[in-house]
Amino acid sequence: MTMNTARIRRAVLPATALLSLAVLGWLALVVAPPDAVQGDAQRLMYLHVPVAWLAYLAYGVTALASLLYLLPRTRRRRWDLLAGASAEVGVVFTALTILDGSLWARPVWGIWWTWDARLVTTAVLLFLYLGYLALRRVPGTFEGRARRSAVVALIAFADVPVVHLSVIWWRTLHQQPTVLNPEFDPQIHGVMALTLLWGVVAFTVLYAALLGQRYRLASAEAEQDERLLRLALELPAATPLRTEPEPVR
Amino acid sequence: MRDAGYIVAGYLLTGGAVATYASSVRLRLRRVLRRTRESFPDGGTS
Repeated sequence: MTMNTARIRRAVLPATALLSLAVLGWLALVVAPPDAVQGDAQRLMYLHVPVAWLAYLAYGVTALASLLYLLPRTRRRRWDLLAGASAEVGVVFTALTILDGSLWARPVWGIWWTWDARLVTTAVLLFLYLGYLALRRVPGTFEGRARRSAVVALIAFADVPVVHLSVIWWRTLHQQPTVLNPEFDPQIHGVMALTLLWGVVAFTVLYAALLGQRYRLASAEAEQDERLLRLALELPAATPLRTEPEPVR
Repeated sequence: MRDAGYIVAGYLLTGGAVATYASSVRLRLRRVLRRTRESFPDGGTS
């Protein structure tokens, strides 16, 4: 593959994400009608819901990659790098979920923040993964750091279903699920449902684009660390280092 | 449009945050690749 072809291939996802988000903006701000109860403020839901979904997805990928790292048969360095990359994207989107939700809550609820079960569990989720990212920066051997990060990622993921079900378990202020409700009976239809669905797809493409970039960065950093370590130890390039764990056959 | 300020703020905040994050990742990647090239002009093969 030539360098130009590689560049073009790398640009496809970000370009698709940008185009899908532009269409989302048009659908959400121009095409979709205002909500009968919430009025135009409901248009913020076309951001808030997809962004929250993305946070769930990002942490799901982190948990899966961490599990694959912990299992001796599938243990590879790339799973640890992927887990870290996805968690960082997830943190950005969790913060945006809270901020977009707050901007919606002010005109609809009359408050920026309340100690509601959904809001609190989402804030806990954000802090759990900030802690996870901080833990990844604690010095240590690659294997030790990757292993403890993977365990923490799996523990932190337990909060994701709690966040989703919090509105059913505790009846506080946040509304119950409109689409993914326990009855599997979406309480939304027409253009609004289409816009929301488009938003979920557009943000998922964006997530894939961001994850691809962030994973490339993680790989480049790991490779640079390995080369510097090899240089410091005066090892020839062919000497294997213990940064890539051997899977159990 | 009612509540236009909140809506505009939400869309700008989300777009701005995503664009800033994506740019920061690109910049960090470029920096790492440049440093690697400078430190290992032969590709680190020797």
